[in-house]
Amino acid sequence: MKNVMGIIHHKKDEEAFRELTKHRCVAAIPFGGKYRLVDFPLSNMTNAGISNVGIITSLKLRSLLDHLGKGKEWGLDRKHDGLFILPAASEKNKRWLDLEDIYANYDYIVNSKQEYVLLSGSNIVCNIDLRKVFAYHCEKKADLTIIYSEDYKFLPEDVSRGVYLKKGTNGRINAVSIGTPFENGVVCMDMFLFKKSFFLQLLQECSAFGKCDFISEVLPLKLKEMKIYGYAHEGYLGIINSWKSFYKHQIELLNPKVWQELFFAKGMIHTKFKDGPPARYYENSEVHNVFASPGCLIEGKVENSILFRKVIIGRGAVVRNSILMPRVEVAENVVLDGVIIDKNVRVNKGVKLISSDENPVIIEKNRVIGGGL
Amino acid sequence: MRRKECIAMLLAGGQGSRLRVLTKNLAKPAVPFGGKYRIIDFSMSNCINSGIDTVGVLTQYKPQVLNAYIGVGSAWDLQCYGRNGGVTILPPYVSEDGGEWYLGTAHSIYQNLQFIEKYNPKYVLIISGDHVYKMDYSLMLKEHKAKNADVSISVVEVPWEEASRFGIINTEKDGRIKEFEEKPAHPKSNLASMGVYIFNWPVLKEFLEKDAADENSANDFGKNVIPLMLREKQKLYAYRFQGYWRDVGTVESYWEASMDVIDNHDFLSNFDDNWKIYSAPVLQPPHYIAPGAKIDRALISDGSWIDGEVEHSIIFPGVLVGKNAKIKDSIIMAGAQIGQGARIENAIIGENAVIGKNSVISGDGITVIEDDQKLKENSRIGMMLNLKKVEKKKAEEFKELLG
Repeated sequence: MKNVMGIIHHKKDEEAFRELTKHRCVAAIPFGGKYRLVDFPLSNMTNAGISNVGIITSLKLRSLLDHLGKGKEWGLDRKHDGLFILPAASEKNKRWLDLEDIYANYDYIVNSKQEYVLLSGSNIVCNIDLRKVFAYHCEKKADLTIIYSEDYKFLPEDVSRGVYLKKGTNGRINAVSIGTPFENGVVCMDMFLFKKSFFLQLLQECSAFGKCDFISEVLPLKLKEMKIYGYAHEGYLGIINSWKSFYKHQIELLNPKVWQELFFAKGMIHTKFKDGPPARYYENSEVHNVFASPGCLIEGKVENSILFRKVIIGRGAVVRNSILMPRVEVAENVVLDGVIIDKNVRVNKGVKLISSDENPVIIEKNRVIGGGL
Repeated sequence: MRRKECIAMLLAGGQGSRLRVLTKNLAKPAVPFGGKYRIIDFSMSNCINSGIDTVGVLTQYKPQVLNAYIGVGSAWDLQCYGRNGGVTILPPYVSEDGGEWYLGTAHSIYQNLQFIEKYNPKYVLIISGDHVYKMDYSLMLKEHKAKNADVSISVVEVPWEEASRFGIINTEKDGRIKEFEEKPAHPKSNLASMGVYIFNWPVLKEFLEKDAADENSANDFGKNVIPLMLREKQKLYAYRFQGYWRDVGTVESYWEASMDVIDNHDFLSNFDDNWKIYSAPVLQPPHYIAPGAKIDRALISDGSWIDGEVEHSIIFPGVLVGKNAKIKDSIIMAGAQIGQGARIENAIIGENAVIGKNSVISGDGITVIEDDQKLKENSRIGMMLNLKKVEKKKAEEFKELLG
C-alpha cells in the first residue's frame, strides 16, 4: 500500500458530543480505556502499510497534537513521508465532508508521490484490512471505492446524522442520501479510496465552482459519470457521531467478542505510549465485567464499566454502567450509575449520581463534584 | 565529544543460573518483573532519573531478548542524546590480537576502557542489571565528592541472619571501608554491598590494568579489585542507601520481591512521578475482568482476560485465566493461558505457557513452569523443596507431563 496516502478528515459536527468536545476535536475524544478515536483510522492505515498520512484538524487541536506527536507509535516518524497535521480552511462551515479544508492543503497532496488517496473520517471505530479494499479498488479499476456496512444500526437519534448508499449491479453505487436511509440500502462508513487524479480534479472543481461538500454537492453528480464502487466491511463497526453513540459503543466493548475483534483481528490498534504500573486491585475490590487500564487503583465495586488510565475507585464506592476517563478519582462510598466522567474529575465522598442507561450524565473535565473531602 | 561528569556501566552479562528456567532463554536483566517491567528497567530508570545520560550495557549471556528490549533506549528516553551519550550495548569483541569472553565483572569493564575513554568522565558508576530498587545515584555522587573518595560502595542494611549471603562491608565510624568480606560465615556487620560503585575514573583505570595483569585474579570487582584497592590503601567509602533494595538472583528472592510489590503499595505507584520506573510499552488494549471473576490484592496488566479467581498475584499482559481457575501467590507471565478450573499456588508460570484444564500446580517451594510449556489437562506438578521427597513414580509422571 506504499502507493496510497491517507487523509483523516475532520468531523465538524461537534455539538453532538456536548461537553466532550468543549476542549478537544472529535478525533481526540478518548475511547476504549487507553485510546482516542483517531487511533482507529490511523492504525488501520498504518497496519496496511500506508506511510504518508495527513490529519485535518480544527483549532481545538492541543490534545490531538499531544497524542500524535511525530507519529512514532504508528511508525510515522520517518525521513520520507510520515505524519502531517493539516489545518482546516475554516471552522464555520458545518459540511459533511468539507473539500475546502482539503483544498487548503492542495500542495501536500500534489507533492505526495502516491497515486491513490484514502480518505477517512476520524470517528470510525473498526479494525479493517485496507489492503483488501485496495486490491478490490485496483481490480475494479475504480475511480472511487466507498466502504460501507450492510447491517450497521444507528441509535434512533443518530439516524439523521448518517449517510446512506444504494447499491446497483456489479457493486456500483447508485444513490446517496443524507439522514434518510434507503430501503435495502447500506450505511456509508465515511471511508473513501480515490484514484488521486480523480481526487485532485474534485478539489479543483471545488475551488472553481464552490461545490465544497463532497457528500451533498459532489458525490451525487459523479455517481453516473465516474466508476464508483462499494466495498462491504463485515466486522465490528462503531460510527461515533454523538455523545450517545460514544457511550453505547464503549459499553459494547465489554463483550469479549467485540474487544477481541476490534483490538486484535486485522492488526493491533496503536496509541500513545505511556508509562504506568499495572492496575492494582485491593483486598475488598469487587469487579465484574469491566475493562480497566494501567495505573488504576481499585478498592470499591465496579460493574459494566470502562476505566481509563489512573482511575481511582475508593473503598465502599459503587460504580456501574459508567465510563471514567483518565485520572478520575472516585472517593469512598460514592455511588455512580450511568455516568460519563471526563478527565481529571474528583467525585467527593458520599456523592450519588444515578441516571438511566439511555441517558447517561456527562461530567465535564477538571471538575470537583460534591463538597467536603 | 563533550566531556561527561559521570557515565554508567551496567553489568548485564550474567547467566543467573539460580533463576532456574527463568533465564533459560534470556539474560537475567531481561527477566520480566512486576507485571510489565523487566528487571533492567530499575537500573536504567535510576540512571535517567539521576541525570546520567550515558549508559554502557555489558552483555554476554543470551543477549538477544535483552538487546531487542534495550533497542536505542527509547523506553528510558535515552535515544535523545544522539552520538553524545545515550545507551550503547557492549558485547565481547575481537580485535587484531584476538579476543575473549568477559571473564569476570572487572574484566568486562577492562575490555571497554576505550569506550569510557571516549567520554573521558570524572567518575564511573558501575551497577548491575539484576536488582530491584529506586535509587538516586546523584546523591551518592555528591557524598563521594564530599568525602573526596576514590571509590564509594553503596551499602544497605540487611537482617543479621541473612548477612552471610551477601558481600559484607566493615567500616570505620566515618564510613571509610576497612574490610570487604564476600559471604562471611560470621559477619561483623550487617551492611551489604549493593553492587553499586562509583569510581574516580583514573583510579578505576589504574586498578583494572593491574587486575588484568594478575594471572591469578578472577577479574571480579568484589573478589579481586576491591580487596586489592583496600590493600593498597585507597580511599574507599561506604554510602548508606535507605530504601527498598532487593537482589533478585534466585527464584525465591524473585518471587519474594514480586510479592513485596503487591504488598508495598507505594513502590510501583502511579503517584511517584519524580521517580518513575520506565519500561517498553505494551501494545495491548486494557484488560478485561469477566462477570464471574474474583480479584483480591493483585496487579493486572493490559490485554489479559480474567474469568477466574486471582489472589495476591501478578498477572502480566495478555494472560488468559479461565473460569473457576484459582491463582494464589503466583506470577503469571505474558501470554500464558490458565485453563478452566486449574489451581495454581506459589508458582511462576513462564511466557506463553499453557496450563491444561483442572491442573494443579502447588508445592512447598516455588514451582517454575518454563516459557512455552504446555501442560495437559489434569496435570499435577509441585516443586518440593527437598527433591528426594519426590517419589520415583512422581518423577516419571512429571517427565511424561512435560512431554
